[in-house]
Amino acid sequence: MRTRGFAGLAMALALAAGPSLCALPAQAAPPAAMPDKLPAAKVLKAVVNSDLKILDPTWTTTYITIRYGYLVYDTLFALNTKFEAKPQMVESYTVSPDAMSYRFTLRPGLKWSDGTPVTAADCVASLTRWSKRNSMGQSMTAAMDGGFEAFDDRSFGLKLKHPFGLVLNALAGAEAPAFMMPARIANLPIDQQITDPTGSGPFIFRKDIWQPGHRAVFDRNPDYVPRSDPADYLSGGKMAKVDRVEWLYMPDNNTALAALQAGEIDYFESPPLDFIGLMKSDPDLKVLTISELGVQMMARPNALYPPFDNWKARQALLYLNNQSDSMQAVMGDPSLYMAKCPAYFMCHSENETAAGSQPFIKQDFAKAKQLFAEAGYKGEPIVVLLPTDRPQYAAATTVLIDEMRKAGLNIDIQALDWATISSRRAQKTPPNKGGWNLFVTSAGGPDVASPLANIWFNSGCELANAGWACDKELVGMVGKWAAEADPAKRHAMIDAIQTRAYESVPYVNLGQYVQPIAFRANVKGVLAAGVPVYWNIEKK
Amino acid sequence: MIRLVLRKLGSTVVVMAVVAVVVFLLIHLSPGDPAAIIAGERATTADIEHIRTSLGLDQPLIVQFGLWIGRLLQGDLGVSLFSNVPVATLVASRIEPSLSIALVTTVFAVLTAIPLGILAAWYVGRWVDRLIMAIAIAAFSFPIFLIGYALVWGLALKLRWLPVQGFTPLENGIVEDFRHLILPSLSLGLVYMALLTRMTRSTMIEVLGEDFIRTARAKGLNPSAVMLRHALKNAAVPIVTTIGSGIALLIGGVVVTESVFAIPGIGRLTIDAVTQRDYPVIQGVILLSSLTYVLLNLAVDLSYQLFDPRIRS
Repeated sequence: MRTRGFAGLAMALALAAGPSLCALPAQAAPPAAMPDKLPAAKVLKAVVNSDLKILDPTWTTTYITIRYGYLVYDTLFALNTKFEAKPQMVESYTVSPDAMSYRFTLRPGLKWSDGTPVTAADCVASLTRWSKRNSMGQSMTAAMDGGFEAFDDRSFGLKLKHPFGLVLNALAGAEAPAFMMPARIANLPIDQQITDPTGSGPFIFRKDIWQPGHRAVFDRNPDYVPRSDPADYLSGGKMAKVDRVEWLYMPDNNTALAALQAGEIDYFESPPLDFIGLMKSDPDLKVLTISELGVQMMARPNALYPPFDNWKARQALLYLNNQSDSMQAVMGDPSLYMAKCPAYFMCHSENETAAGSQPFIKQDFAKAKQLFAEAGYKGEPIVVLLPTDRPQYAAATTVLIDEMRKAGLNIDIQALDWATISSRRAQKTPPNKGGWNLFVTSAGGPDVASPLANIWFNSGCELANAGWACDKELVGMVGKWAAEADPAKRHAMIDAIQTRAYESVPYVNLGQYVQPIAFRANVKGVLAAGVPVYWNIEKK
Repeated sequence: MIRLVLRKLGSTVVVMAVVAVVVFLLIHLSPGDPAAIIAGERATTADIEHIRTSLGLDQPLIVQFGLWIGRLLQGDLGVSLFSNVPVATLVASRIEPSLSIALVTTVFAVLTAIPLGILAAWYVGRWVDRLIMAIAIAAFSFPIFLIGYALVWGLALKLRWLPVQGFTPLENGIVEDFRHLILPSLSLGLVYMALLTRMTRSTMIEVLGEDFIRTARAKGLNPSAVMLRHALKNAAVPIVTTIGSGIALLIGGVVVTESVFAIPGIGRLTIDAVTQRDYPVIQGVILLSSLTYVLLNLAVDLSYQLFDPRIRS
């Protein structure tokens, strides 16, 4: 793949080289590759919300790579509408009476896109790779007695040394599931990025005509064996009903919207919120909310430095927070957000609760001032990172800054692009020496809905994400919750976990909103699957 | 002539060396961390560290510079930190759209601006001149993206004459290729056309006041021969210089145009690389753009000799 020597430079300079250079060199063509050009009726053209650049779902946590994973790979289990983990590649499974041993059997006839059969050894290698990076996978392997084990070509399993009640949920995931890949790929060192797109999903990635920064093409996998049951959220039969899905990356939302209106594209993942009303009134377009959970926006304080190293200062932020104001600034249209959602683990999720939130329901600047004073705050500058190229984050940050100033805080606004914020927030240096005190971010509902999967909830001090929330008691409570195999008992434990979180405040929930998708009226079968998926869709 | 070319090429090497050092330092000393962007929003600090180490971004700057220069001297521009695709391949895949826009824009601008400039100079001070200058000022004043959106709304969405966005390679047919180029080239070309019209007009007015023009007219030559054979040829040097320097305007404008019209060209490649801190791609694109610009200036310098015998001698 790598072009070396002067030949590479010469190629770049070959201005007249023309159209033959517009496609990347052949890499991993599918066994029976479709023609590069297909009739428009057989192609679903979709504008995605970011550019696909990385093909390894264990290397990155970016959502676009996870979406790519859902097209190209399959999963052992998948969530249904009730957020239950249902078998996907797995035909049957058994759990020992003490829930300490799991055995899975693959469906017969599964094949990789290179034509070779899917084996238990492939799944063991894939699970091993996934569990090295994924937070749920890490928690699961920490509870395991040894590694994953293949019993024969179609059967494999695992044994636990400590109880872990979320084995199936971890494998199903939603925003970060365990994607299965051939062992020859999964066995690569974890610090080596996967570039071979061989999978067993409903579509095959056409790396030979991939144009990073512009276009990614996925052809229907003729060898894919869908389940016979109907598609349900991320589970059930993944029927590829178009021959090709073509992802286009358009940095300008207005252009993408115009292209949708003109019929040049069929599907728009993240239409601009200002135009939702306009699109709803257009008979040629449809607008659909694919995730009831949506997205949670959050303010992350830095627990390493004053004032937010003190719980009282973090609780003061809760008194300043008015979700309705934040969401109004972020979304505008009230039908797209919840005026109030006190649940750390998302409203409408199985872990929704209001426990612990009661004292903070009403905005109270006097109480916030009092708590900041008790935390020892004496007017020192508070460094807030304001992203200049993320309008929704900027809107929420601006509202929060206004609220903090009303409470008499001295705010030092650092306006930066997101790339700079991404690196700066990883710095543990003091705020006045290149560090920070607070920034705003967001996370997809399925990620946030579980105390274990929610990385911003992790209060493991040094092991926690940027902000380094530190509450060993809360970590212990989450550990016990994860160990509980009975869903009813787990649910009962959520109240205590959230009550504790409202005391130590790993982050402030700024609100919950949904991001609708838009598509042409002749596009049928779009699934409300939580994340954009492209099976079951057809053009009529 | 050959000595001139060799001397210019020699200075090009020095310029490129300076550009290489400045670009590397500028990019690496700017804030931002590609490892954090690659790792994604939900990655832990440890994940980011793993990726930084894997990509060699934890090494001292001087070591990274040495490695990059070493590869560059072998003609290797490096590999994208994100897609793992060689920079040369990425650039090569983006050249056709950018080159097509630049070519059509330049042809459009030259073919409209020079006649308009001549016309304005011929009728200087009269309503034709004022109308042309008003058009030029308006075209120069509107931002490129605004012109782009207005053209999309009118010609693509309302009249449905042209596509809203995208690029069709020449291999898929010249008609489709050209249809996709009209709107971006128009929106980019109007500014260029305005600049060139004003330059042609002022240069022509100056030349038309020269003694040799009065002589040509006194000899009874028809007006078109005076304008095209005598005046325009003598006004050519500043006009050609403007066309050449206008290419620099195009390089800047193409970034906006390619974003507005979703065209996968060099401009978008650059913007994406900058926003994501894809160091090898930024360095490679800027180096190649600088080289193109320097060579373009060399071509303009050499073209003077075609128009002005005094320079040739």
